[in-house]
Amino acid sequence: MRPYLLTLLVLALALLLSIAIGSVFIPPAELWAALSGSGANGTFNTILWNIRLPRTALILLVGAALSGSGAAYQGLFRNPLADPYLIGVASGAGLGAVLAMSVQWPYTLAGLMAVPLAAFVAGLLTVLLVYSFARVGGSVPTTTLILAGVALSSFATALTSFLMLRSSGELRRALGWLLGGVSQGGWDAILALIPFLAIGLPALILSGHALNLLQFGDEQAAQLGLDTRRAKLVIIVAASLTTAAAVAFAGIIGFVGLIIPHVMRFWWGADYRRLIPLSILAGGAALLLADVLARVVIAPQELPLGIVTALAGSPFFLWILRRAKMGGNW
Amino acid sequence: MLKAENLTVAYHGRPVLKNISLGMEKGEILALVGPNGSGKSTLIRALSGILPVSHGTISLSDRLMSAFRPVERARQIAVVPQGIQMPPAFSALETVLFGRTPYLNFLGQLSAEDERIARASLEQVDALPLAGRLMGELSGGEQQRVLLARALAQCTPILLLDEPTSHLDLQHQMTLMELVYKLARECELTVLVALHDLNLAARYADRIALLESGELKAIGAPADILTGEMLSQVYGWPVQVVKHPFNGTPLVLPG
Repeated sequence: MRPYLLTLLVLALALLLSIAIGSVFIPPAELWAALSGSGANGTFNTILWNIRLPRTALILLVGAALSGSGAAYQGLFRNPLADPYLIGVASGAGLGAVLAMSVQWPYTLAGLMAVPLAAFVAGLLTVLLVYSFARVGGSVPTTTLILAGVALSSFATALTSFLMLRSSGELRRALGWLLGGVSQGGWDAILALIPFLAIGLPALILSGHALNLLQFGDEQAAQLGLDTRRAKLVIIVAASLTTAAAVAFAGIIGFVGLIIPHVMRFWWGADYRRLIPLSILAGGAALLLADVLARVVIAPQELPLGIVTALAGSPFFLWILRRAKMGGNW
Repeated sequence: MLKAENLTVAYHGRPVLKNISLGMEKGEILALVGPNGSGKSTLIRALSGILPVSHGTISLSDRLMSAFRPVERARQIAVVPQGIQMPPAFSALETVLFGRTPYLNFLGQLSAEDERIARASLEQVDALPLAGRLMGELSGGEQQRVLLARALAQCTPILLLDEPTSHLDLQHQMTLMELVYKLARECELTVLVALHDLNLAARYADRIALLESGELKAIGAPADILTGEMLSQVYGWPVQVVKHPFNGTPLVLPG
């Protein structure tokens, strides 16, 4: 229980910071008053309920989704460097989302759902392509995985840029979004996000034992009684579903899905039955903290969230690469 | 029990096993011998039900292998694969517990009984002291014994072993084969074991199947298969076979 308690503690702290800190600081007493509905200060009330809380909820869900799917991709590919961003799924989903945005959907819940759905289809296609290109026999070596990911990611990003250049107005907004700026969808965005995560995250959590078995390779997993084809399909669809939903509402935020599962694995071991839920919780907490940082570093302006995670994540990535090269355990 | 009829398996269109027919009786030890690349590992993998069959059939208790769901199959057949890379970050006990997979619910929850069986299996292969150690820290021989424990924890009537003694020292080779022998005799386990060491095969097998270039060259009692003439021809090196001074089984001496 200790890993869960500690992670939840960090998560609670991150939630508190995310609600209190921003261009306007809400002191703890006022925070409590506004939350409990007895707040006298109308401004704090508005900021809290219309801006801070929906944003906090969105970041929490997006971080959880990216980190949970990152852990699952790492297990599925048996590769410590798999991450929704590095293997190109995020860029693919981004392309799908921009394609959907270029059509003028009405600003309703159904309209909001079109974007994550398109992101899901494109993300799933990308991961299947990357997998088929990167596969060597039964396993997916780091080099081919990252190269295939980079190639497909560049392709998708180029198409996305082309779409944005060609269009006027509507898609300009998408640029800030693509960099990992959180869309200002308010509570509607969260409502649209929840169905995807309500399917994807539990499916990932329930795949813990299958992911453990897949660490022995497909053959042994099958000999131990796993229906490998079905298990892999469930994992790929669930991970792509959660990645796509995150990308559709928060743009392309790299490295969360890489760093957090790594830290969790390092601290609490390689058992995916525990690693997946812990990564989900810690991913939410980590992205909240990154977002707080994004809000205060050049206040009153905000940094796009994707920039913060990339600045923190790239050095980390290189460090893992170095360790992996030296044959370190992971 | 386990039966192959006219079995042909191909990789990329090239047949690796050609037209093999053999059956295993309940409680017998069948040793699989043959030069490198003769198809021993492929035959074991095919009989474990995980390879696509190009031709012929594999059946288990008179039911086609392809009709078994993976979880049903894993309750009948346990495999100790050869020379594989293990996930380094699981402990030996955790690794053995994966043998309990075919009996777990969809959440993969382990019971106290599963843990008891896993520990007993480790004990059987003389590896209980390794329970808490990570697989990545163990030697090749220790890993091999943990893998056998995992197969035992599967509690199956059939055991397929692919060169289970390749990394073991003399003492552990002998204790492992003694254990396999005891399991076959006392618990009526049916064992197929690929062996490089012809003398281990001669000493412990009830029957020996000799493979050559993917074909079944001969199958029968050790004394009939392990002859100087046959082995010299198949292995391409002069071989003499004499009587083992202690137990009278064939003793193979390369010339």
